[in-house]
Amino acid sequence: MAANFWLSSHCNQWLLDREEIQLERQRDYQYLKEEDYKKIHIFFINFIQALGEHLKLRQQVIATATLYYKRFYSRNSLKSIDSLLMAPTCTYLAHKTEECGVISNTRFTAGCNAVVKNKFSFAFPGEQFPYRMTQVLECEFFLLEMMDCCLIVYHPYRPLTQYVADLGMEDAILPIAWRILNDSLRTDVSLIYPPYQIALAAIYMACVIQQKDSKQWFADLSVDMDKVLEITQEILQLYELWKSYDERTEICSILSRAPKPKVRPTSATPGQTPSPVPPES
Amino acid sequence: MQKYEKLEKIGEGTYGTVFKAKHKETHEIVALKRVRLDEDDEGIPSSALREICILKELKHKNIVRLHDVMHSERRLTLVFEYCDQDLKKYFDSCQGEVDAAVVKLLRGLAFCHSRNVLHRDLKPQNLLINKDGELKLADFGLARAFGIPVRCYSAEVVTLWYRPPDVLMGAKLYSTSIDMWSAGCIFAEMANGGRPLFPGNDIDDQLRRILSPPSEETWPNAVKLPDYKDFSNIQGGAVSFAVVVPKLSAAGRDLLQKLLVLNPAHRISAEDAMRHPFFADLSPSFRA
Repeated sequence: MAANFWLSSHCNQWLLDREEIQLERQRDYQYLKEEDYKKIHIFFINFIQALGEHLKLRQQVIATATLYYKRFYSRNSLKSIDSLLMAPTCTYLAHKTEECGVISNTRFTAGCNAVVKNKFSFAFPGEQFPYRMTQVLECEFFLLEMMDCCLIVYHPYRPLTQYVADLGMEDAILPIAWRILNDSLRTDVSLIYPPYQIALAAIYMACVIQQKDSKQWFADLSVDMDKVLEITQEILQLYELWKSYDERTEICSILSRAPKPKVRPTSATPGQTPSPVPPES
Repeated sequence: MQKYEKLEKIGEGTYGTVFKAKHKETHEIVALKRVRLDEDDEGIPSSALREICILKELKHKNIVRLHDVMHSERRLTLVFEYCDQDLKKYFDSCQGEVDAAVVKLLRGLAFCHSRNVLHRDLKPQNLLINKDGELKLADFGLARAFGIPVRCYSAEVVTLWYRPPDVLMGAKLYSTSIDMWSAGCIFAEMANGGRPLFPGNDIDDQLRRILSPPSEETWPNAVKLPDYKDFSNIQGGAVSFAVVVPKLSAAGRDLLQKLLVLNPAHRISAEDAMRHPFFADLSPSFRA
């Protein structure tokens, strides 16, 4: 679908203003510093990545799940639905929309459990994955509705490979730029900028790291370099944040300060609690 | 759900019941497709999801419009624009207007294909006609967005009678040509007043009905298909189109021939078919 991004719902309905996103987050900033708010989403996107890898999903599916997650919380408070339910729900829906068939419910919940226990026990000590499949399926509805059924999304990976081929620097640039794109999923760039610009920013950064000269190539493209540099800045901010942040020791206390849905099941009674609170309209 | 008043059941779709309904305030008539959701199952069925996400991207006068998606307790309802009848029922009343109906079908298809969507299940039952006589492609439950790197698709698509020979022989790589063959079958069916062109009983019977057997020079890759069958010694091949569609003009037969090319690589595209001389008598607005 690469040729038709400009006519897509992604382009026409889901490229958001930075101000608009910030405004929505004011509710959550009453409880959390902006930086901690970011850390919460980084944590749950790490969760989506780990769950995807556990279920052996392609990176494309993981990226789609991540974008669904970002879209949901760009319009909703952390209070509306527990991220620990929303993150796997995004994976579940992305798996279907990316035409990978259906994951059996048993395999899916077992995957969630394994990831909570093996990868993220530092955040949920002694806990199991607290939700049941019926809750994931219910949450899937809210997600679909909140996104206004816009499920086809575009990612920077394909433009990246095309640009790098044109630049003729596959070996030097592609692996690093690809990793930068994976990292960029943890920022807001995919909510704000079209995928091709994000791909260009990743190439730009990879060229700097590898000390490759791409000035002329960028000049010939006649793209809006200001946008590319804005994206670069946002990704660099993420790297800056990572330098002085240890998720394993800090996330528990951040999560404890986060606004929560009225009901969150505890692992003592999995699935015995009422449904998640619907998103505020 | 309370927004609409149910009027009558229209039919059973691929994944749910379809009702005619009226918006309580605007009195707009719509079609409600109710999706059954089984407890502890896959959640929203993939076919419904496919239809939702593809129709969200396709807004065109020849493609049925998805107005809304509603959900309530374990049930999903898709709200579509209402169309009075499908092409099957319309056949009787459209004599002499075959060209107008076909060009609308091609226009809808050209739009899908330009947005990289394959319908994959074209048949008269999936072509709806609204009260203004506009033709709409519907039922995108099997449709598929295709990317640039060609992927392997399921060979079990398209209702048998409208399935192209390459797919019948197990081709898993196909593109827009799959819909063009189906369009050709539907075109002939319309020209014959609703008599299906190739009403096969099974895959072999279907292949036997398809006119001339593939030859080495017109379709060299046919032998490489997974379920290739040698039909070179079958009787009755190479039937003339003048016999198959006697009521169709020479230009119409020429277009049909270009749609029903065995080799998918040589089948005409929707865009090119719309410019065929068969449509020369239609006002230019039809082809826009």
